[in-house]
Amino acid sequence: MIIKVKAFARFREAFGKEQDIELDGTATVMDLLTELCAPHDAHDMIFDESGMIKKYVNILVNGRHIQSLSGIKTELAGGDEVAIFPPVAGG
Amino acid sequence: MTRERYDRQIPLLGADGQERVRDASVFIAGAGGLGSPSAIYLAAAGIGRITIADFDTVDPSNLNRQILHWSDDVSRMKIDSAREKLEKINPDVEIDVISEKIDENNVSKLVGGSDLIVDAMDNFRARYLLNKAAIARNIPLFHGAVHGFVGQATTVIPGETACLRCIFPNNPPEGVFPIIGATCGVVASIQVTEVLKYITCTGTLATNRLLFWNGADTTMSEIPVERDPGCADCKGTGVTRYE
Ligand SMILES: [Zn+2]
Repeated sequence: MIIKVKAFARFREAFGKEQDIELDGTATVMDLLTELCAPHDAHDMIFDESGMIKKYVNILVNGRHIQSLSGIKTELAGGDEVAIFPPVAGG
Repeated sequence: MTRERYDRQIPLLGADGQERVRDASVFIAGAGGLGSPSAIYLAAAGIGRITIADFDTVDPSNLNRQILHWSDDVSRMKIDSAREKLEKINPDVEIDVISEKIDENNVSKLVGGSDLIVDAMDNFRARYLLNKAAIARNIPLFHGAVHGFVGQATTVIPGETACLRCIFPNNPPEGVFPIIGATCGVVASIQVTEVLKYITCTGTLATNRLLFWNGADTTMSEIPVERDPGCADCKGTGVTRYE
């Protein structure tokens, strides 16, 4: 299945603006992130030293933050759109 | 009201729309990078009453972006500097200033007298307080945030649209960040445009959408966002309308 990934702000430097990722069978957000980070040096942007996803990294699946779904275990379906962006908090 | 002042916007907003702008009161949370251009454009547009809250004094490092404050204002209270400029920009506008730091005890009282809230804060702890108060008091909240060359904005209508907590459940780390003033200008301009549209029922609001301005590659983009039925801040409040 194909998942559309859109990155914003400084994550674009690591992930590009938009890309289609192909995943096999049933896949989760974690599978997608593993795939996404493989060819890039982007692992440290998303994960902390213990291998946990950084809490403030925003990952939305079809407009819903994964924390309000099933976190990194959220299952993906073909055609899902995943947005990924760092916090922007200044004023 | 000197009508001529608004001659160029009345064709867009309508004569009755301009009256609604005059009758409206807006709370601006912060007189910094976002609050400065927001307050300037809202005052120039003829908002009836602007309440601006900031507890800080002007630091030289603010001057690259906080355009309400000028070189001579260093060390002054930001609200004093802001009031002086805004009254000169448009004497039609009543300017109220609040020198309190927004906290969980005073937020509801501070925003309660206004029809709309402009988020010009520099941290998410304060934004979550505004978000909660906006929902509790059913006041629309116009979110903006900036960092470096990038910024984001969305419009929250309590009980109807995704709130800030639906979109950003976690408090990001705080700190000093790089910024150019023009990034604040872009994002604040979006917020003010939303405010004027909301007041005058014009156009389509940036609700259930998160807009991204990226000055590094000069692009504007957006993603759809949805209400979280389990959201700690907005769940079960007001009218729920799913589309
Ligand atoms: Zn919410």
